[in-house]
Amino acid sequence: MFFQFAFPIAIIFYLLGSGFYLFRQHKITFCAFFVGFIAHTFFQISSGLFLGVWFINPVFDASYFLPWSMAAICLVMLFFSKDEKNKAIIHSMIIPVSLFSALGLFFPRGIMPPGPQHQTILVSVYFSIDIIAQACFILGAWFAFFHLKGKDQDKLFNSLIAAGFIFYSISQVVGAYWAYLGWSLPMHWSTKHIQSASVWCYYAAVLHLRYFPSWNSRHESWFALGGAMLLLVFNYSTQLSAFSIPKIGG
Amino acid sequence: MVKRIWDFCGDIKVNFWLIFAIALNLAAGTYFIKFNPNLFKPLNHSLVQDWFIKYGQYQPGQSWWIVLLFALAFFLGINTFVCAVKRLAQLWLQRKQYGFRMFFVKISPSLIHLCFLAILAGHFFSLTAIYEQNVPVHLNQQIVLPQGNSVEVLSREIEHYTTPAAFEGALKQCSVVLKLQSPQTSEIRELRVLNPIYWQGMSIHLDVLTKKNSQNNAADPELKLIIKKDPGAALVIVSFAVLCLLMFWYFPQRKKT
Repeated sequence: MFFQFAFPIAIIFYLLGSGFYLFRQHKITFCAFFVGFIAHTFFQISSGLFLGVWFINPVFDASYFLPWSMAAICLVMLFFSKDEKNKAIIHSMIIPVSLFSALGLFFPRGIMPPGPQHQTILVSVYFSIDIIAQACFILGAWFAFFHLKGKDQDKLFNSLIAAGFIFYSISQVVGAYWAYLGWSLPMHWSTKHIQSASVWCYYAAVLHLRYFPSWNSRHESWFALGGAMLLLVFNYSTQLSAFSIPKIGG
Repeated sequence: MVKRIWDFCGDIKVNFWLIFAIALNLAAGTYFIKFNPNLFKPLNHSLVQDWFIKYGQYQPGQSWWIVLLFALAFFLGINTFVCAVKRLAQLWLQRKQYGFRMFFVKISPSLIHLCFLAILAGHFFSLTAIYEQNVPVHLNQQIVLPQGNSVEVLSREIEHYTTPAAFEGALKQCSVVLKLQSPQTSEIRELRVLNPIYWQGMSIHLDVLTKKNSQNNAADPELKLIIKKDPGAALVIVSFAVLCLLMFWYFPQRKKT
């Protein structure tokens, strides 16, 4: 089916866009990025249909939905940004989008039959918002990197981290409610829940940094980079365990 | 002296380092849970003090981070309370300088912090003051509960996927029919996974135990009734929801002002 090729096509365009970005061809970068995003969107929607019956859960598979969310945030920022310097940094976001999309190729694909505890829309709401928040945190770190290099003078990384924190908090409420309905506990003593609590506390701490008179935005940038590292270590240590789980259509 | 303690407790730097220490402590905790799940699993269905007496105290090398977590959360609670109260008191005196909207923007961070305190309190109650019974489901079994209440399992139903073909036979949904008997009333209700019953101040949940990560869990799954009185769960979820709403409103306002 065509949708199976849509993701590799998206990656090819993202990589092309990254190449053009490195040669400072921003207009062509945007065109390649946009075509890649359309192919990626098509892949995300159609992946819910690959068993012939609509299942929403595969649409929000983190391996593919994370780079899609990053690309979507990038386009939204491009649309609203008026500053040319900021636009140049936003164009550079095609590089992390390409990297995370390419990583998606190496993770196992397929679907697990949703069991009794997954028969609720809360599952999709939780995963989708959680991944959008992660995309904000990772892009926040990307902008923080540019801030450390003397660019991003508007400190856009702060806005991305604040937005990520709001989305992450919402996902935690939805997750807590789902866990309460399904297992009678809003929070489990499990790796996933404690990791989420750790990330939430870390970014709560980062948001308080602005009230330190003696610390400047460079300190905040380092913490933003540290947060993304923490998130990626947690995420990919979980993703690696996915290799041992047999999936249908993988 | 009292003022110095009060100022230290309400110091934003102390706040930052406490949250940061909790984040690192939890990160360390994930390592211990991942490599010793059998030690921490009972924590989900027992009071934390009971768990510590039964398991935790014998493995201090594995459980130290939970003790530290409680200590840090306690100091964070005090610090958050003092910070919020100090700020509210200060803003209350200046309230006439601002319009209502501006005043609300100004006090929102303090309200967010008070919600956070409520979440901490909710978790504390959930960990230290719940009543819980975990009972495997057997037909016609009667479960005796406090205050003359009882629950009887009348029937159970297991639903499997029939479509799509790839899912055929996999477990889809489970339900049981319960007879709920109190000294005054008797009623029959259906309980499904994800649809708990609220009755006599308790919640009754249906849990299904399947082989982890197994697609083929069609064989008779083990069902479990979780009957509990959790004074903290609602506080945690409602306070967290209010906290999110406040943040969702506050951050764009902060930019405008």
